[in-house]
Amino acid sequence: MTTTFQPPSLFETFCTATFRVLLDCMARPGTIGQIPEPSMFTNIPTITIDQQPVIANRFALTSCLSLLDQETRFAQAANSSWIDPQSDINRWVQLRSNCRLSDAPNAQFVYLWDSASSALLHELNPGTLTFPEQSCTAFIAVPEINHTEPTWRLQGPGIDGYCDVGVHGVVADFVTHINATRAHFPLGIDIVCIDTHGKCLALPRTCQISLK
Amino acid sequence: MSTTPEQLYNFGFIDEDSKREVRRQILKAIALPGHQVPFASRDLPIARGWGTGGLQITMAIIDADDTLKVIDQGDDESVNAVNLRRLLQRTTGVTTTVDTTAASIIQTRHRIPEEPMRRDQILVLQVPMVDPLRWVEPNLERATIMHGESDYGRMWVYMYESVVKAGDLRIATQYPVIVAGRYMMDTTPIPRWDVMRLHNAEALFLFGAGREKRIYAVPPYTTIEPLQFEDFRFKTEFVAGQICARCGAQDTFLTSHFVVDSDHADGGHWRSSCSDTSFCDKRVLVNATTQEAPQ
Repeated sequence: MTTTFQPPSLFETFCTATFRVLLDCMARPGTIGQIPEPSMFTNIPTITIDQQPVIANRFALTSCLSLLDQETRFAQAANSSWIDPQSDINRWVQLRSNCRLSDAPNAQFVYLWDSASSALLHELNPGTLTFPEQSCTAFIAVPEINHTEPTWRLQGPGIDGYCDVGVHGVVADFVTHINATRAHFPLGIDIVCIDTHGKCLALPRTCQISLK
Repeated sequence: MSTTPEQLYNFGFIDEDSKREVRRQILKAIALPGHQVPFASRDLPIARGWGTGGLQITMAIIDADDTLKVIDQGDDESVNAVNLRRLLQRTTGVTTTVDTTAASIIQTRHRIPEEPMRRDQILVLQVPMVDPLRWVEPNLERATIMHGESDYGRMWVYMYESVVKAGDLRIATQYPVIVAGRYMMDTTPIPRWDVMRLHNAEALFLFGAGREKRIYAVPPYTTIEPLQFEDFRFKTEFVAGQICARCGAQDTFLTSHFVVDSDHADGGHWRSSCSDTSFCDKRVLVNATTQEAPQ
């Protein structure tokens, strides 16, 4: 049979592969997926926190970028404060995705550079009762996710009973901040945590988290 | 690859921004089990109402190493299934199959395959009518608000009236269910036979309505409760003693077709066989080999 399609570009292949990981993780909270290496992205600008350069989690930033286009509004925060839309890192994301840069209450996607920035989750749009799907999705970079040393117990749709998962190196009130975003289902923020090795844990708003 | 550039389509036919939009809505649909998420249903070379919702979901999620199966009423060989499969195959180059167990993505109209689906499989359903409240509230804006407020009283009255008028719950297909204790969802025209197979399943179910521009989802391990009363319970189409005329299965969903037979008084007779043709064929093959084998 004749095929009539262009072979997908590296970036398109990355977007599809990343989406399938996000799809699987979102449908089955507690599953740890592996984000593919974003090899087409080099020279991601660093940001400065306390006069020290900080490097982005390339897996977390680019998997968020893979869902952005001209219809989406994006913001990012580090060290508990929002990054200026005119900064290098925001311009870098905009140039590669064509997204619109926005303030926190209007953002549809945010990238949080660290778990400390989860204190800002309450500023994001949780949607409305009529349109809960208009809520924000947050990608959060965390140091490590594994199944071997569980710290959280997850329950909810997509989980057979319960699922234990370990999220390490995060601030003490991380879970408190996340749980606060989902106190009023169907309103809420959907969250994707990605560690430095590209391990991905999705926490849709239906997912209840308790500390072990 | 084709030789003339003007014949080249994007991988998966629709462009990358369209895929991204569908992907974003799928992720929201999963986070809100049973909630209808609007999306900008694109024009396709197939008319809306012929499976374009399911088609766009498949186009947005499909990867080069997927194995695809497309069925229409359980049948791999009907015109709609063959055309959708060919469009997807030509614009992605993926392997296609009729074997349910070999597929990673199954696009379907009106059936869930008889063989249990696994966690590495995704079932994409084509949806003609998305809103179960359409029967009691034709105005979409008001129905959306009713969903937002979990205001399902009128639907229960409708069910009650169905019992009073017809003596039973007389909904044949599109049986309304409550997903994860919150949203009321239309189960598309899957037969009542398949409704409870959505309950706590291993596979992910994605529903796409191209004409009505909505996407919704049932994640794995999610509760599905059909609307029913204590004294009038939800029932499937199962009839004791039913049997498939081809493979002899007694526990599958059957379709019937008219067989012309000039000897017969009515000019023929009705014959029932499995709606899932791939499953039926497998059983026929197994029956043939066991009969041939020396006793």
